[in-house]
Amino acid sequence: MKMAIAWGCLIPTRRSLIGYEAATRKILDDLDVEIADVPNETCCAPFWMQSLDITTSLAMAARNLAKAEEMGLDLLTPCSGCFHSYKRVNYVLQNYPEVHERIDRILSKAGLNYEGKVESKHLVDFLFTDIGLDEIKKHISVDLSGLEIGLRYGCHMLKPHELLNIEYSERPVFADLILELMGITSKSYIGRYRCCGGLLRGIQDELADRILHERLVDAYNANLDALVTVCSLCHLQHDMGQRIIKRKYGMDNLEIPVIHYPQLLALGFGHSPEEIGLKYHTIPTEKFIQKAMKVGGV
Amino acid sequence: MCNFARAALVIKEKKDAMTRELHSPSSSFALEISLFPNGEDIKKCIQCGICSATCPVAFASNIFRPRKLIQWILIGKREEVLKSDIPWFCMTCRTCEERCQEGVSPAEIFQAVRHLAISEGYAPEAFKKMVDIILTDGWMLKDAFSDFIEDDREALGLDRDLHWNNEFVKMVKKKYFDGEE
Repeated sequence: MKMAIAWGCLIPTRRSLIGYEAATRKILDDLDVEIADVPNETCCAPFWMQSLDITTSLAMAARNLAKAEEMGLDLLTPCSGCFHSYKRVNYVLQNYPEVHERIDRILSKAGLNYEGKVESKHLVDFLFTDIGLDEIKKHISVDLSGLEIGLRYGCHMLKPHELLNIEYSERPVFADLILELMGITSKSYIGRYRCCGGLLRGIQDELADRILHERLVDAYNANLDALVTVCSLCHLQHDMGQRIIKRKYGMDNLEIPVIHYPQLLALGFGHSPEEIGLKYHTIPTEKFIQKAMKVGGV
Repeated sequence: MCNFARAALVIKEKKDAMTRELHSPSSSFALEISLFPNGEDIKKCIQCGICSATCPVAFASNIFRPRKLIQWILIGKREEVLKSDIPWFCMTCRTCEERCQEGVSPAEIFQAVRHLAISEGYAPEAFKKMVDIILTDGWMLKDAFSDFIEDDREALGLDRDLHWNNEFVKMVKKKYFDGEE
């Protein structure tokens, strides 16, 4: 199988997120999925850019889709924000012919054309829907039974489900099922589906802190070996933001490692912590790695 | 000028022509919002409040209430809404939209509100700064991408160079502000 891939701006650029890219490349390679980066990716113009002008913003996202269409490939992305933008392009093209025409005009001036044939897929949904549990299971070489994690799906991969065409948006389990193949216990705890406040950073920092504080108290009370995030913004919020919350709210014992979803899968596929950048996270991951090594016997 | 902005202008002119403005559940402001993609659903809102009850921002804030904001739109408090910070509190997590029994998307409605607020010059500073960065560099994090991160990428066997550029953005930048023509 071959897919085009657009990484988004956060994942390849932030120190604590490059492990997301490294792990994703490794697991996709293991699963025999060939990937081709969208050449000279542009900003996907997420929702707040869309407020400035929706047509131009959708044209920005459509530019990456047009590149994927040129390659004759569907588009994979690990970024939940980008995923949302790409899904929205196809939705608007189908439902608002007038906006469609205007997007076409913008693209044609740049020498591009987008027919709307590219299906965009979120990495985690792709693993579940297109690769499937049986195939993933064949690649698991390390049993991680004994690890107890809290999985955060984030918001933008899931909602609204009509637009994103994803299994179920309110209490999804598809990503948990993949982790369970490795023996991992994905704990159900209060707040795991709730928003992290990440998009309020820089706009309403006090409120972003208050929401993150709630999320971290939820996670702390759930007694987890690690939080596992799908969304890059959730990761920045929980990993980098954890230090802020620790100081601000005097939570001295707060130190929950925050792991990227594909990193955990890569460990299960037998990759080493070094290969997948676990040392670049803000909250040290050593304790988590030690436990994973101990239960996994590696 | 884009169609949305043109429609907004027509409505604004009509509105300005009125000597006295009457608040009604189908205000001209609500009509204006209903012209945006997905904004049409505002007419279905029955003000039940499930959005405010669900909203994670409302849970942590004492001023953001999606139901109330929609109510202001329905009764036509145009200036108050556009000048306010409140429409910028929505993080588009869309939990409210999933739970709304009437098929309304507050996130889409607030997006339309923000669009109008921007066209009339009421955008928050942090927003303007971010937009300016994207429309100059072509992406958000050019400044954050340092040599150190290039080294870390190389250590993980990743390409040092990200190949992002501003070629496409240069072409659309003007359209962001002037619309089509």
